[in-house]
Amino acid sequence: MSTYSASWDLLHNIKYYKQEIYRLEETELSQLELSGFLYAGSKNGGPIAFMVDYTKAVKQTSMILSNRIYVFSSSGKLLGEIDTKDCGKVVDIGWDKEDRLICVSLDSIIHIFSMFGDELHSITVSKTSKMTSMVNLCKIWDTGVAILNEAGDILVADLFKKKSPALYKTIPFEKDIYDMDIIPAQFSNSRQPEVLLCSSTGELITCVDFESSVEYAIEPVVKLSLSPSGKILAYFTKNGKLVVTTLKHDQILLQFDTKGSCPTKLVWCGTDSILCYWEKKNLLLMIGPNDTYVQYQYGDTICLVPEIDGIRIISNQTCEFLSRVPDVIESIFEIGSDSPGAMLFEANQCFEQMDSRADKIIRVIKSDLSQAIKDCLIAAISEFDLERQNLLIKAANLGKTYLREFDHGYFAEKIKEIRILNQIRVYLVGIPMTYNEYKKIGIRNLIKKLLNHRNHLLAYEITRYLKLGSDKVLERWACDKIRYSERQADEDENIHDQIMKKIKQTKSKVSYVKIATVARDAGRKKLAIKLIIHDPRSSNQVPLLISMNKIEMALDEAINSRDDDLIYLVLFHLLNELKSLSITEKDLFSKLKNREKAIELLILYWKKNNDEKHLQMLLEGLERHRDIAALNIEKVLESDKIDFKTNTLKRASGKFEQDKNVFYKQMCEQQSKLIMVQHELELKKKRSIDFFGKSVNETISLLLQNRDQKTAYKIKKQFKVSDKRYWWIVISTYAKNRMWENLSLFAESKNSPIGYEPFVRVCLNQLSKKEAARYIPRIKNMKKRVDFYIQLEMFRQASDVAGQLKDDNILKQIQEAKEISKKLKKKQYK
Amino acid sequence: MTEVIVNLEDSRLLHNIQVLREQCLNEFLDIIPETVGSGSMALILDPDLTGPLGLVVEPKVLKQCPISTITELHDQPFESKDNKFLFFVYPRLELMAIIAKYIFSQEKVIPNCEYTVVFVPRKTMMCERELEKLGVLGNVTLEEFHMDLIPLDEDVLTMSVKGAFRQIIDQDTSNLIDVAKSILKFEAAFGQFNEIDWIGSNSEIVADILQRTKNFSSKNNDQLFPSQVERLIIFDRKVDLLSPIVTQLTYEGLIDEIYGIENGIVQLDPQVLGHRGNKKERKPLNSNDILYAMIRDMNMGKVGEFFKKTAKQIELGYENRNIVKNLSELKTFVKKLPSLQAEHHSLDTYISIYEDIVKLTGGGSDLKKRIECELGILGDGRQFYDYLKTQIWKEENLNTVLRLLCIQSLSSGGLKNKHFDFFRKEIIHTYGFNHVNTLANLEKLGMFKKKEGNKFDQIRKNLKLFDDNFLQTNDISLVHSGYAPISIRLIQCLFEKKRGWESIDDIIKNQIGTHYGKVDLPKSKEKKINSNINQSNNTKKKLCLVFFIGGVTYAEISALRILGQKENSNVEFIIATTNILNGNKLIQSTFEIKK
Repeated sequence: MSTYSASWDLLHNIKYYKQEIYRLEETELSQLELSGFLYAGSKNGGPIAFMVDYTKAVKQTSMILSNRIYVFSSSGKLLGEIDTKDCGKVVDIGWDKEDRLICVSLDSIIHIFSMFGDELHSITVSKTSKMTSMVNLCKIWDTGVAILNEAGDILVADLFKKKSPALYKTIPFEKDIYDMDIIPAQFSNSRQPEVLLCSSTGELITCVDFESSVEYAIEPVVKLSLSPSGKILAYFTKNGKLVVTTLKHDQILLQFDTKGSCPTKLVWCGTDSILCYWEKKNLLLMIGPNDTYVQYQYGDTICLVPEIDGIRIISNQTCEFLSRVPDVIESIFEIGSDSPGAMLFEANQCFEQMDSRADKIIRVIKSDLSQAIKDCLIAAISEFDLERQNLLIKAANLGKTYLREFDHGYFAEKIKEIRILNQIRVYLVGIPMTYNEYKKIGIRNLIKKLLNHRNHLLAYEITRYLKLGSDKVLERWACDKIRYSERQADEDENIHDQIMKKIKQTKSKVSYVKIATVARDAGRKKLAIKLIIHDPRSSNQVPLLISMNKIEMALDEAINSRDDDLIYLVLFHLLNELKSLSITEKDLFSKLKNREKAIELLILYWKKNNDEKHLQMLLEGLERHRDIAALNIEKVLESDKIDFKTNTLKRASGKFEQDKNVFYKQMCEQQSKLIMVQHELELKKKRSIDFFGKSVNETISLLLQNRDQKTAYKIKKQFKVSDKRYWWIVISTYAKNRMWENLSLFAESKNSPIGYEPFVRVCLNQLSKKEAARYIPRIKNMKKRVDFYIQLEMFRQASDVAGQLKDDNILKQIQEAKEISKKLKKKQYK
Repeated sequence: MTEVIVNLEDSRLLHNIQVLREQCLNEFLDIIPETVGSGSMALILDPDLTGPLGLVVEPKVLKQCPISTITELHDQPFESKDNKFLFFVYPRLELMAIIAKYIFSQEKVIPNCEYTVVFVPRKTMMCERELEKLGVLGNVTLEEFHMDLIPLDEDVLTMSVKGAFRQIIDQDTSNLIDVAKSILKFEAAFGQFNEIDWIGSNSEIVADILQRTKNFSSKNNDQLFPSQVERLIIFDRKVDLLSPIVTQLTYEGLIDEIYGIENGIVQLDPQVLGHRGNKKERKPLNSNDILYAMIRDMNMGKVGEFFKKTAKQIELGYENRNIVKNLSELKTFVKKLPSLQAEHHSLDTYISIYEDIVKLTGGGSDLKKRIECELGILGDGRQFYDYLKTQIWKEENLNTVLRLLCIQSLSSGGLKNKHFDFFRKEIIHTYGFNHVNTLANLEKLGMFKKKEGNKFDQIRKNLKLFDDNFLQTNDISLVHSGYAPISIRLIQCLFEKKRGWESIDDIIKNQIGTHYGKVDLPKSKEKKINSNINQSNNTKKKLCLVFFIGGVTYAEISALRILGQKENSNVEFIIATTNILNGNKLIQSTFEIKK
């Protein structure tokens, strides 16, 4: 193992090493002539995209097309091909944090693709919606894109927020800007992405919104690169100098004269050193503090993908990782190291060779054994080399057998992490994520990343392994299954069954509405419908069904849900269509046919909105005569126009006839007649009496008040008012208006069909005892007479009647009443 | 809002029933911002909401909110200096236009004010669409205030839906989902029901919603603590339309019939209480007053006796041998007792009310005659057509005429064709043509109809709807002086018959003409836990929630209390309802409201 550290490079006092992650010979990537390509790699071990570089005329094999972007995994597997012929001329490519490929076209449009080549959406970046300008410079980072166009506008688009790109500033001399970089929002003072520019005159401009600040570099700058920590800036000057300063420019940390021309790439390797790469010379120069540097000479073109803790170097032969040697690795593998970790590793070597020194060594480091185990574990996680990793784990395990109290949970956790990282690094998956990156993004984002790579099974296994919920994984699987499976007519059934089988097998709780929405968006309505019916919540189903124009199904589901609001949701959709003339009333009604509940609600809605036209139409179609009649009657009551009233009544009576309701038909006809009669009367009486809206009784009563007994009687006849009712109307009217003479005459006119008790009562209601007394003798029932006389305190008359009755009890009663009355009177006087 | 909120601290049945009110109050306070920032805020209330809101929010709480103006929503917008507006409304379509009017006129005074429309208990598609049509949806923020079941008393919860019975006429089922949600909320607070029975089609809908929700969430409903309320009965008002129109003859029922009780408060003319002035006096009626709790469920005929007895006890206790002859003596007597100072005032009030009622129901009064007719119809199947005719000819109040007419119709399977047409014609000629639709509504409900065979006699016999001996037996029929409400008899059957409603399947299905069922509840561990606990304290009565959809009367509430307080009963009732109903309100809602 001692040879291991021999290959390390020392830069100032820091050790660097290159680890080989994949051998790429025989892979699809090895076929590419890298020097002819523009490329971009995604962070955290993500894929790398290659596009033919227009500026270079390099021969490519015939399989390479110039308007395509090829996406490879770090392990050299071709993941996707993206046809960019619809994107216009692509000037730059990059990746966002969710491994989506970002292409910026010359006409300032951002196209966003999945790594497998499906276009997801696009964003037009311009100052005004009408004008677009050509891109001069652009910068893609993990959450956004900044563009400097030929009009000199700096525009910044956020890829994760639904808002239009922000205009930062307009620079008059855009041609003199050499390079651009971004200070991401998380590092900037303004909490917004800030744009860094370097100009031919040596200016370093920082822009945010409309604000900008200018600093001056020592000489004109041609390339910029911000460190992964976001705090330090490296730039390369026209004269070949590399300068590293703080972002505030208050301190120059490093200045190094490369004596070279502008490098092809200027990138950071972690946060402690900068790499300059000249493609022509295939030279990679790593520069550290105090004029230290390391030179790497390559035989062919390489691609550089910066990570937070190092750099991925991809050539036709290998994928390597250049980074600082982690402290634990250094302490274990440095020649002559006597750190506990190194000792434990050594002990394990002995143990493997059945060398008894193993035991001795461990006893020596007994007090530091816990630290030694931990160091070995961490070192194992950091290792890409599986053999070395295995040895480190064995060493840790050996240590553990000596230290029973070692935290078992910690040990298991680290082993789990190692297993997961190894799984995602395997050739087939090809995500060479470092331990630091894993720590930074966390397990959930790792799962997400796997799903973005369509490694559903691995994602599922990991969630199961870690006992995390796997519902979301399954949901995403189902969505992707629909999105990316073959589109054949009979496939719908098949896919549905496959998805449902998996969901049932795994007992997952997925959002069917989400999966069905994907099916709908993929143009697979049938499948969408099949899926949505599994969703237990109607409130999810109905809107989706509406969006697919499955109105009948939506209606049935809404009705079934018992939620009136859902039914209205469908109805209002239909009403909007009716309004925009997409459908006719006939279509509407045919959709509602036999859906009683929906019809009821629509009737209720139209009633409340007074939409008579539609209401009549609907009810007519349903032959609900009774309801139409009721509706018409309401209209009659609201109106004050006679013609309208009589016409509407006619319609109502017709409807009642259709409903075989003779009584109400007659009533409508009568009412119509009454209105006409009232109208004539008003004309006759020169409008001195207002009959409007009065009932039959009231009309008679009004006439009587106006002493038109003749007409009153005529109306009685006309409307077949019974004698009894008529008599009541007459006597109440006379009494109420204190027309005593008329009342008395009326009493004489005929023998009363209602007797004379009512006469007494109506008079008493008016508190007229005198008038009341007048009618008592005409009451047939003698006992009643007595009662009334008592009530009127006419005790003499009472006694007379009682005498005729010859009933002692009644006489006694009268006597008692008389005495009470006397007492009361006395009291009053007192 | 000057309402006195009923104190629920020591509720006898459900000791933590006040959580329902607290939940509502907290939600209300969440809606009202703690600070207003620049400008000031106005609170504009749906007039119908003022009363029910008073059951939740005390005036002093409202005072602590940063509100500068409180006013009711009326058709006449006013110009306000405020720049933030909170409208609290029931989701009624008419109100949306008024709100829009407010906004338009206010924008002329101060542009760009903030408007929030808070719907109680939830917003509806219809209102949202209306606001959109009126062009103000963009100006307003929509919120919901889920004020559903609020305690009216320690055993009565109401949703205070004013038009709840009208919804039954219109077959408007939109609030059934609110009923279901309020039941789920109740369950969340007091534990899951072990048994849910329903009767009638509206109840079936609610039961169906509950069933689905339970099926959907069946996996995680293993609850650890036992349910406080074991059983739920959902009762659709449509099953029994007779009982609410029969005159209530309990003390509380008569107060409601004569003066009207709104949100637990009666407003009385000062003369009734022997006071001067003309401003109505507000008197909260609830169990906080022990005396009231004792008399409210009594038959009116027993109340006087009770007052006398109480007086006698006091009299004996104080060695006062004067015999109390009449009530006025009793009143003066009570006034003399210093130890009763605290209760004296309310006792005085109750006696005054009692006297007023006695006067109004005394011999020769219309009310007395009406009660006699009702009992004659219900008890002996007699007919009072002549009386009814005369009442119409005398142009008596249509509301009372229709009540009696409907009782006559309901209890004899309808009116003979001759009578049916006669009464309809007399009513239209006398009260006006606009009552064509009133009659149509009553016909639609089946409350007034042409004769088609009489099943009422069977029901009366089978359910023992009439009991002349009600004063001795302490039967629930005492709430109507002999007539026992069908609704409560049916509920009684659930507890007294071995197989519940199945034992009277024929009566329910063929005679009453409705259907019933049970919600299928998932059997889980909780039942075992419950039964264990129940075995240990068997003595405590179980609790049952009865939910009336479409309203319940005070007489029915009293009847349930009487049922629960019987010695041999092992259950007591909590009553939940969409609204409190009485005969006048019921008939009134069949009248078409003129626009």
